[in-house]
Formats: sequence, C-alpha cells, structure tokens
Amino acid sequence: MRRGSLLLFLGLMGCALQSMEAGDDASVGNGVTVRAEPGFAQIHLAAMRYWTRNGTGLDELGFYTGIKEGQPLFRVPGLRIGDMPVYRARMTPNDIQDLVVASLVKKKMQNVRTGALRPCPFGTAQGFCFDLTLANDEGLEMRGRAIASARSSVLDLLIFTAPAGYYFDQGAPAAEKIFSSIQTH
Amino acid sequence: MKRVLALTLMLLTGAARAQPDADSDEAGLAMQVAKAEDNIRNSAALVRDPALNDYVHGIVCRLTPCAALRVYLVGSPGLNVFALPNGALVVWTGALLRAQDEAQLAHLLAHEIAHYQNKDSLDLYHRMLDTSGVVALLGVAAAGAGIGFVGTPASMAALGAKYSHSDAQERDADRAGMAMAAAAGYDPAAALAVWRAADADFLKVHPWSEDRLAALQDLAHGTGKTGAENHRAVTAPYLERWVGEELRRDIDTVALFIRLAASGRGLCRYGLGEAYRKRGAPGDAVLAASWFRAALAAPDSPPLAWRGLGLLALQNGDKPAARAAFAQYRVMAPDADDKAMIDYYLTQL
Repeated sequence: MRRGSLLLFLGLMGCALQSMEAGDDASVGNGVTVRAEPGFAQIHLAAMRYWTRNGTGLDELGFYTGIKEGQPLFRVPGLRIGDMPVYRARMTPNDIQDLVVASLVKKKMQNVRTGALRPCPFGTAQGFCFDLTLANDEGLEMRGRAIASARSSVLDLLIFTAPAGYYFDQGAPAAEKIFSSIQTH
Repeated sequence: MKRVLALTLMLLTGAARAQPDADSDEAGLAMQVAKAEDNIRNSAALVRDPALNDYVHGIVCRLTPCAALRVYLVGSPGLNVFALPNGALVVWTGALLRAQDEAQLAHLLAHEIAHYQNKDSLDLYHRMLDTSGVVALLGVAAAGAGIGFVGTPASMAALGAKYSHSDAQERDADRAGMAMAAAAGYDPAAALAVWRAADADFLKVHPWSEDRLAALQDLAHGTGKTGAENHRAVTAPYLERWVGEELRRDIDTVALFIRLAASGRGLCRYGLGEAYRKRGAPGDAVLAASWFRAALAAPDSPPLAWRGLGLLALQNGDKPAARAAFAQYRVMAPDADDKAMIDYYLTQL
C-alpha cells in the first residue's frame, strides 16, 4: 500500500518512475548493473537515476555513473553545470571523497562529514567506500554510504542517504546488498 | 520613514515576537527575521562548543555592553560576520580561521556591531522590503529551512553585490568599530590587516576602496594587544576541521592559504600544500611538496602533511616516495580515519 501510494504520488508529480521486481538485474549506466532489492522504485529526476522505497526525502540511492573528466557528479536544480565542482581523472579516492562533500554542499546539505574511507570491491573492479553524516537543508540529521570506482578515468558512484535512525537503519542493509551485487561490463 | 521607525521599534523592542500587526509588511519582515534567528539557533551547523562560544562572546562583551546581542557561531567555511536587525550576531567559523589573532577578530566583530548599532542592517533589510531581495534573503529561513541564507556563502555574496552597505555606512562603521576596539585595548593595526585580507565575497557586502583604506589608516593610531597566543590556543583544537572544510570548498584556495601559511602554523602550511596539490596547475606539484615539507618542519607538525606527500607522489607515479610518505603517515596517525585506504595504497606500491 505504501509503495502504491508512493508510485501514485510520484506519478502525479510528473517524475518518470518504474516499478522494480526484487532480484532483477538492472542496468544503471556505464556498463554497471545491480540487483534490485524488495520494495524499491526507480525514479528519473533531472536526468538522474534514483532508487527509493519511501520517497527520495526518506531514503535515496543515487546512481551517478559514467562521469568523465570535467563533469560534475550530478545536477542540482537551479544551478548551472559550471557552478558545480567537477571530477578530475587525476583525483585519488581521498579527493573523490572531498568532491562528494563539495557536491552535496551544493545541494544545500549541511555539516557534511565523511569517514572510514576504505577499499571495496566494485563488481570485479577495485573500488572504495566511505560513510557520510550530514543534515539536510531543514536540519534533519542524515547518514549515508557511498561506493565508487574509477575505471579508465571514468567514475561510477553510488550514494545511499536516509535520515539517521529508522530510515537509515532499515535501508542501509539493502543498500549494502545492492553495492555487493554490482557487476561491471 | 514611518515604515523604518515602525520596524525599528518592533525589532529592537521585541514587539514582533509578541503580537505583530500581521497586515503590515514591517511586521511580516520582523517575524521573518525572528524566524531566521530561530532557524540559526536550532541549526545543525550551530557550533555549541562552550570554549569557542565563550571566546567569541567574551570579545563581543569587551567591545560593547552585550546584553542586547545574541551571538551565534556557525560552523561554515568562508568569511562572514553579520547582524540581523533584531540583535542576532552571526559569526562563521571561517572568520575565526582567517583572523590571525584576537585583535583581528575583534575588529571584524566591532565593525559589524557598529553596523547594527547604526541601524545599517535595518536599513539594508528595509531596502529589500520593496524588492524580491528580502524573499531571497529570508524566504528560505521563513520556510523553516535549516540555517537558511547563512548556509551558502555564494548567496550572501550575490545578495551583497545588489544590497551592499553604502560607502558612507562603511566609513561610519569603520570609525565606530575602530573606537570600540581601541577602547577594549585591541591593536588598531589589526583592522587594516583583516580588511586587506578579506574574502572578495565579504567585500561585496562591505565595499572596499583605496579611499576607505586611507581613511582607516588615519584612524589607526597607537598600539594595543593582539591576543595572538590566546587566539592560537583557543582555535588550535578546531584548526584541522576548519582547514579541511576550506579545502573541500569548490574554489581555488591557494590565495587564502598563502595568507594563512604566513602564520607559521603547521596545519595552515599543510593547507597550502593541499591547495596546490588539488589545483594541479603546472608547477603546483613542486610547490605542494615544498609546503608539505614546510608543514612537517613546523613545531606543530601535522601528520596530514605526510599523507599529502603520499598522495602527491601517488599522482606523480613516484612509488618509492609514496610508500615512504604513507608509511610515515600511518606511524604518525595510527588511528587515522582513512587508514584502511592508506594501507591499500601501500599494498599497491
């Protein structure tokens, strides 16, 4: 019922959305596929792809794939591309972590902090992960997890964020399973 | 004129919080200002550390009887100090990083307090009242959105370009601020230093000119305390965080850190090294390496400078240098937050 309401609401908002079946492999760009977990719907907003169970303000898995030299990680409504920080192929994982912070600040996120930068498998490629704490523009405390990999100087990045507490605790295990299901082609 | 007087009375007496006349623009603005202060007070970005708040509040109270002012310290990079027309004085931590000593911070605060006492802030808001500017400035806050307009340095700069204080207001605030700081015993020369080094965004709200500099120089007589040692001691626990926040901004921070590195503080020298490394322009790698080494030579040698050298060598394909620097970083910072990543780098070198 909750999922049905979400789909109806998003449909009325004019967002392109797609119901997903748990266990299905989904292509999320740049040759990256992931396996869907139960309860997610896929939304296309401003040319970006998100998965959510409860709505993008409550849990949000963003797929930012195929980012090339000089491109921003994502678009922010109301900002020109030139106003966004951009990816550079020479960036180290430490730098990409900082780039994620700078990009989230452009989304009016506050107190964005990262931690536990560590290597993580990204499908068969080498990747890295880190944790996030932040507050949205209304001061709501949130947590997040990110996984990324740069292959042939092209960056793929997935970020899961949700309000700290119930929504993060409920969503993080599913996000981790999705991260673990990454395949690169 | 009547509108200004009415609004002044409401804001200064707190009448807006009691029962404003909801039909008037002035009452609406007064309520929005009160709402903006509420948002700042409840913001996730508000710095609640008692020591740091006591330090800033103490300076304010040395400058002026501070009962009518409420000081809010906001954790944000960039230079900003501003007063809402109801007596809320907002200070970004970026101002504490940029001030080289207590006297420089005191002059910044005194200048803004002077704007408030001269009712320049009120005048600024009133000018916006007839335009969409007030919506841009307070609308986000009125919607209950976090720290609202204080959250984005660029938004203040953009508004400042359109709604800056007048030259006459700036000179009056310089005069009153200088008198306030001098009466509190602060070094007058610190005013010149802090204004000469101010960020461009801040100067859009407080227009700067050679004439203003000359007038300020004429006012800077005598000597006073700088409070440099106290400022260093109070800010030292926060320096790594503030330097990191500046480095993560989407701007070229080389010019900022050139000024900060002159203080000789190891973390500021590291910041300059990182600013060069991140910028990556021709010649920057050499400069980055030299500043990382300068940081390591400082008395408060920060382990992060070893990481900077390691990342730089990694980017340059110099595996032996990267290995040596990362190994040293792991020794100096065994509990570093990125230790797993550094260990991975080491396995690949």
